[in-house]
Amino acid sequence: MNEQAKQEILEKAREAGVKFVRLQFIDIMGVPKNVAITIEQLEKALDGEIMFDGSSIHGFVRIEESDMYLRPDPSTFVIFPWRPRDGAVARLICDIYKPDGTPFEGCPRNNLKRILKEAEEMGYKMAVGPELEFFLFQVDEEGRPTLNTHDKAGYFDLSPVDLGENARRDMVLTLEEMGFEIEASHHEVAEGQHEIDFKYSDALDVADKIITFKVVVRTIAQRHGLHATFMPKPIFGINGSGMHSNQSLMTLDGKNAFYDPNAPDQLSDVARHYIAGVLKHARALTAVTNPTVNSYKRLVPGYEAPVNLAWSSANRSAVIRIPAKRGMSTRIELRSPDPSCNPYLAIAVMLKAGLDGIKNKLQPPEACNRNIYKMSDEEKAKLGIGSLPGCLAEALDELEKDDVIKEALGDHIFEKLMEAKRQEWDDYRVRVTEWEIENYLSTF
Amino acid sequence: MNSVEEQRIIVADSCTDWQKNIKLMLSKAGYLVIGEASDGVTTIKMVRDRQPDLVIIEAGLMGFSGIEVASIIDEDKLAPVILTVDNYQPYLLTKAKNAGVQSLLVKPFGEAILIPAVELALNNYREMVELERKLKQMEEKLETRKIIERAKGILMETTGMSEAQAFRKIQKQSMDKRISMRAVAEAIIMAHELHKV
Repeated sequence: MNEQAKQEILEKAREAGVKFVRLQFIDIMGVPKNVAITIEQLEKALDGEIMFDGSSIHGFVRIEESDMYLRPDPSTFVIFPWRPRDGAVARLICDIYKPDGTPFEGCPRNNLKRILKEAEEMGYKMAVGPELEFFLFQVDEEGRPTLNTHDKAGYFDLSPVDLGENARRDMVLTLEEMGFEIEASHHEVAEGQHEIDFKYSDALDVADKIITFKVVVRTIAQRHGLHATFMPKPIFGINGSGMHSNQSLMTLDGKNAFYDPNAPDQLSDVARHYIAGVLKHARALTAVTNPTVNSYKRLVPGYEAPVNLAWSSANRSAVIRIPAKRGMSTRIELRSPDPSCNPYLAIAVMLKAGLDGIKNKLQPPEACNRNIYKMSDEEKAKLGIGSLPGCLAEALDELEKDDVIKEALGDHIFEKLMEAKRQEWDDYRVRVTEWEIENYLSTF
Repeated sequence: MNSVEEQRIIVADSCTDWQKNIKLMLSKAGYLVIGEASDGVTTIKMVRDRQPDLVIIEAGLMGFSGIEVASIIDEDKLAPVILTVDNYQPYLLTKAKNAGVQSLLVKPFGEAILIPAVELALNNYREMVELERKLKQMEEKLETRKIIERAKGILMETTGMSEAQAFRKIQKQSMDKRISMRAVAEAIIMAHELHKV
């Protein structure tokens, strides 16, 4: 790290009275972990000299390679706006390095940087704009989350909507204080469901921000006596929570590579190849963008979630939508990802799929501007519209067959992810669910 | 200063007898008890919802502990807090300090202890809020002055104006464009930085 950046951070920390710094990194499941250090250790940390035991983190490394170093990214320094009296707390996001000074392959952030570099070598930078949805639920007297969106006693003067709105307003203010540019914030279709969108930015920054976003939303909810969840489908029968991912490629001189004013739909060939790439690999990359058992309870017809492998400028039943804006805002929106994903891995696989389309000049099928939900299976087959995997196991099978997406993860992450996810599926598969009891117990 | 009658207080205690007891003492003294709670989650929601002038919280609430609730109320500057405890332990005092509470009352206590604590808490908190407001104002003024100084410096250096001319120029722009002098100064600095690149 350069001396100036280091001094700036030390100065900022001193000025704000920071007592503790959280060195944050991400495990393969996308869960933020951190090593807390005192302010006295900050200089050492900025020099990348803080070590941690990698074997203590789930799915990270084998025992014999347990020593790992944390290298903070100075641009991620931020002070948490909630300030306890015993001293402010700051955060730095880190990359994980091996003792020999090379990047650790199992670090999702390093891995995303690898794919971003590949894009850059092709002449592109990726911009991403995510739309995260989440639910706010009530907690009981002992602080345990429930599935109620209403306060059970109807106790308060404000409606439950207001309780949620107040919390959301506080979330927006806190995020803005932490440097987010909030574009929109609103109540969603389902009761208790909210969405906050922040401005698109370069891919690595957005992945960092998604992690921070989740921490802030959960923390502020808790401070309002509510529970925030990013679980994709907490309640059967109502809309689930998605993480629609707007994405575009910029050329290195800052032009939007998806925009071509002379094309009939003003989409460049690059955009068309990118769409084709994402569609081609969609079934495999879904294992990464929708990585939980529960993710597939959201990807069903009828709840505004996409299931069909098609692209469209108008209808939301297709997995890729092309928003109407052109010029610098030309972009594609992948509608399938959900917020349970690891954003570093999800962005890496989406980008890799698109790049594969560009490299091989893949052509997308024709845009489909009809409501696909209303088509018969024969019609869909005729138009070549496939569908997303129906369950986690199917998605994992697809991932295993797709070398491009496997390459986007690297061997280490692919293997660890596969192992953990197969186990997750197996654990779920053998459970006897409420549905089975309801339907079979008295019948047989 | 508001009269006693207009002071709105929330009481949170896991023991319903003490809840009643405290409410009775407060009501007798003329305060308005606008909410009672017996767990931490309900307390925090009620405080955000009803915006009381003071909260009296028992340290050992369920869910969120009383101390956690007090910290959140302090950090988000919602209201002054008086903490009550069943038994005095030195560590509680440290925690109470970190949570920014106005005072720590050990049960059992009567009106002679409670009412002065309430009055002083309300009074001290009002003064603190006023001081914080002034401090913020001063900080902003100082920051504005620094920015205008820098902008003046840039104008003097690039156009050879005198200091008074530079100041007058910024002032005039501010009046003509109907924006603050600070905004004009910031625009000058930004334009200068862009020019350098």
